Amino acid sequence: MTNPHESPLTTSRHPAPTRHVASLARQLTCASICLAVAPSWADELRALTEPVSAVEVGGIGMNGATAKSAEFNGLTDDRIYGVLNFSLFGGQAGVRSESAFRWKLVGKDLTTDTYKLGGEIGIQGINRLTASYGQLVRNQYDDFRAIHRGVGGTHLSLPANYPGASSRLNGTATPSDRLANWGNIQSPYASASCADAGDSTGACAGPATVIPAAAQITSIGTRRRQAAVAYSHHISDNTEVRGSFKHEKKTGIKLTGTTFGGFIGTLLPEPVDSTHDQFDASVHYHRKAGQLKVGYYGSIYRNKVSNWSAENPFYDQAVLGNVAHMNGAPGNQMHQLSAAGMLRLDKYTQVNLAATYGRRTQDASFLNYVGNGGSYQIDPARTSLGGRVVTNTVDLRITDRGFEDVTLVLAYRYDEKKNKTAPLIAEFDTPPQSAGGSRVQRTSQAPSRIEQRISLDADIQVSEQRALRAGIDVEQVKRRCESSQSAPCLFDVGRTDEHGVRAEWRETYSDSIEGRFSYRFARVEPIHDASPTGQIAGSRRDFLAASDRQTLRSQVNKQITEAFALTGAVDFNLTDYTTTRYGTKDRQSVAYHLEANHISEDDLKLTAYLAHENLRTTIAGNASAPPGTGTPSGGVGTCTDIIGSTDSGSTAAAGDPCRDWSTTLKDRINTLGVSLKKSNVIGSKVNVSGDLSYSHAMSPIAVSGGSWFSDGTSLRYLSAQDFPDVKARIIDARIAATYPLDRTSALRADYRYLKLKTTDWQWDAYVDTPMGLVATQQYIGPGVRSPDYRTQAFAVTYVHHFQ
Amino acid sequence: MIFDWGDSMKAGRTDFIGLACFLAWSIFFVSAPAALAAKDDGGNDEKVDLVMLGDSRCTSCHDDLDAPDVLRIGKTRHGVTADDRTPTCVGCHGTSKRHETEAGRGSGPTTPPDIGYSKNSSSTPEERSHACLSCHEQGATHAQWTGSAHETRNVACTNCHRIHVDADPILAKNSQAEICYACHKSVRAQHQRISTHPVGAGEMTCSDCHAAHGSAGPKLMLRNSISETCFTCHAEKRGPFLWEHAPVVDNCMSCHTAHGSTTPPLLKARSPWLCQSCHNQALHPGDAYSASSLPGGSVANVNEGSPVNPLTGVGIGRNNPPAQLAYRACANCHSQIHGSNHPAGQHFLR
Repeated sequence: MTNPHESPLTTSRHPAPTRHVASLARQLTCASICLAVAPSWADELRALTEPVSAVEVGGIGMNGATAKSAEFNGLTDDRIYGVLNFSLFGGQAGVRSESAFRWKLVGKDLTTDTYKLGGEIGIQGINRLTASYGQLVRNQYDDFRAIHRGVGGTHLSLPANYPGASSRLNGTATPSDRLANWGNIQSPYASASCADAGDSTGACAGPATVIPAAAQITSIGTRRRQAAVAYSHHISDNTEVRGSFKHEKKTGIKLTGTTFGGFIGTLLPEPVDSTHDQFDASVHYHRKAGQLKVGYYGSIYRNKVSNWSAENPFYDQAVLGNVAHMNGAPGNQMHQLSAAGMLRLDKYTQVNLAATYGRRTQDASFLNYVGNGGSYQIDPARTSLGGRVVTNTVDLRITDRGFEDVTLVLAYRYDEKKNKTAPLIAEFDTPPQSAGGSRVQRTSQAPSRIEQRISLDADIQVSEQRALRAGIDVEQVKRRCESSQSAPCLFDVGRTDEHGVRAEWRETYSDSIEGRFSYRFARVEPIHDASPTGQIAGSRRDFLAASDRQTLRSQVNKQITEAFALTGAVDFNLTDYTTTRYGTKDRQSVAYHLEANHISEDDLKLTAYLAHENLRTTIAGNASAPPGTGTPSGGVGTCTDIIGSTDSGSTAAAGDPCRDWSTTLKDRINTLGVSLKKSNVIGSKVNVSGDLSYSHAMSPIAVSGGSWFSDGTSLRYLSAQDFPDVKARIIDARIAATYPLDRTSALRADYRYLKLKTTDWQWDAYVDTPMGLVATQQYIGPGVRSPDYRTQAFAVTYVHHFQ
Repeated sequence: MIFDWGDSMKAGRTDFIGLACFLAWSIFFVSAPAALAAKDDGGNDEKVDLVMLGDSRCTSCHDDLDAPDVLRIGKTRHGVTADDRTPTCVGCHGTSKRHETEAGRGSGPTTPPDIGYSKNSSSTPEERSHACLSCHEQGATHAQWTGSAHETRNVACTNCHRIHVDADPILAKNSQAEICYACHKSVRAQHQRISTHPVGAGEMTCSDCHAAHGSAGPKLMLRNSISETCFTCHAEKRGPFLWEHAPVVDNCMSCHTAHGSTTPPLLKARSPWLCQSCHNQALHPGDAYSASSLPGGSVANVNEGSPVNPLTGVGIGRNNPPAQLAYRACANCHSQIHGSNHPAGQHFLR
């Protein structure tokens, strides 16, 4: 480690008025004892002006490690991991050198699962070649319980002792059949005869008995291995060419929700094995008056898991072979040409223009499971989609400073996604793969979208201390489905317009106080403002609905002393969906921030911040009554105004207080952070730093209204109940200290404490029940709990610097 | 005698020191040619360059004693003097004649350099950035700077970049975000939530998605649109698909938030309500889901015929907890929500 203050010549720091005395003294001293001092000063200067290479080796011990705590760092076990980091610099480039050749090699976390190795080499100003290779793991679950075998492969099979398909029932005629009523998974009996005999052991053990015992803990996660190379070359003073290639291979397992027909299903471990190649090439030409860049971007995604399958653990569906056939994400490509230019029309005016033309294609083979009795048919006959989307964008921006103290920015954007895929008719059984399903036809759609936006902003320097920025923007989005089809377009609103106005005020109130306030109001208006087809009157889709949007930003900075500053900020957002009766009614967020910064001359830097956020979303709906269960019992419970059981989701049901419900989702989040850095402590030898962040999030969900449920003879109205609060508490504390052993080496110690405790009923409520994995109707649970861990890590490393 | 320490001692001392100095400086030349090349060989107070071309007029005062950090620019690309684009002190700080003139006085200068970059400098953001842009605006990544969101809000280059340091923190993945947080405070808090991109883990950073120097796309996105930027990592969701989901085609932000959420995976709201913000059809898309539907809730107790699982003793009537509320809620079944290429995948079930 290099510390300039350790030099014999720099043991004291000289205030400015004595600068020349000090400089003279140094040179006189040098002249007097130069043999001893001159190399030292040279080293000193060299240390200050040439890159320093470093190698760090050591170990890191983990305590309480889990896959979830090691979500991205790969430190999943309680053991000691090695530490190896380095950054090496070389080449002749530097001060006073006639060469601009330099290279760099960097390795990070090379002994763990998540690592990166990279480097660059080149002659500065002429060319540069960079390359990197690395891996990023993502551990998602370490407590998932899989009942299927063959995890990691493309076919998941049931365990050998699982009740045979032919014995699995789906009847309700007898009490024993009722036990199999939810697709059999809650039945302790393998068959009706076992149920009649009351035998749930051995061959008579039903799914409810077999599933928990057969479930195996399976780690779920992915790893991305990425190799990248990039090259740039200045072929003249005005022209530069650039090219890059990035290859990523992603492997692992992810959880995918899978149905086996109707409302029965489970989360299954889907194998992940895909590659993504990205190419970038461009030529850049510049003159003083402007510049032009012409480029190509290519992206090719290939998925080796084009399809995968899983045996059906529920009741017998022999007609479909008791196998769910799933599609992997289809491989696709994107190729894009781009041109971007900048032109200075005169001293005050600049024009930026960018345009792209791209094609996205997808032609992966359709899944073919003909022969299992559940075939599908594509009309016109095709084996793949032949999907094609053409994208065009144009961005124009004119910046003008022709008026004194005024900056005008006029911007226009055209963004088109034109889906040129020919619609197809797919014919298949519904519900898919279930016995007794009917044959249906569905027509695919090719949704397209054109967005145009124009905005004008003026930034006016009102005075030296005050600036006003005001602007307007108009946006129009047209959405349509290519070709005429009988079904309504996926986009039930053909066009939405958004008009916004905004203003910002910046002011320096004094030498120590400055502030910034901005406000924007925008109105979104769909041209055809009506409920989507098939939905209850008054419903609107969130992203197409009429709304008023308000955004407020404010921030004040106060420099209290030379070393101490305070910042306060308030952010407010409100989206009010003005014509929505069912759907998102409003969305609001308020965030308060307070931050203090202290930087003192005694090498202490302290930052502390506190944030409080309050988020709220209100969503409303209209519940249906279970069909075919008879007349509702009027006056049951707390609701007396019932329209009837057969008009679920109809216009007549809208506004029925016995069907209307509203859910308010809130997030109250407090975040606290403290960061401290102090140099030269303990005899001016040690540099220490510490970071603490604490976050507490509470997410209550309140529900008003209620629903109708059958008790077997009639409908009963049950009032809604609020959910238990979802909570997350994160504590992340880090302390690091560096002790220099000599001018070139140091010992470094790091300690990290990480705690995450969450409670989330969406996972926990289904694990903590007597029925465990089969606590949910017709759905085998994954056994996953919300994260709760406390991890400590301690690392000691030796760092060697050299030049 | 080799050395006469007698009467001639005083007279010969000067020669001895001179010889020693010659030897010392010779060694100095060998061990540190770069540094020594900048010094004159007599150790006189003649102005010599230490790092940058022509920096002697500055480093005669701002040297390793007064401001060692100033010299660290030599470690950076700006210190490669063989690159004829390399700046000089006055190239960034101005000629600063008055400052230099005052430096000759005993009390030192009271006038700062023409262009200052410290917090208290009176130089305007435009003045500060001008020095950088005189070279960098010609670069391929800075063409969109003028008129961009940062430029028009008076953000100067040195608000984010540090020049006289070994490694500029904003260019490092694990330190960049903290610099952005200085203004984007909400984003820092959002990155502390339970569901985020791995920014805190140092595996991603702001510039993986945003082009801080300006871009043609919205929100200073690296690529043409928000969705196109997402697809650089999540290409499997790009499609086109046989069965498209309208909000996915529209914008990833229809359902997701980029910086942090209390609901994984980076969802704007918890499902099933996220889905119900668009879907209000009859039956389960429009049904009310409340805590009464949780295991043990009042709904579960309204059992048709009240059958009981003999294994557990718990009722298993048809009103038991709905799968639409548990685990991944709607995505328990509609898992291909970004689009499906399965012929029977119209409802994104497969």
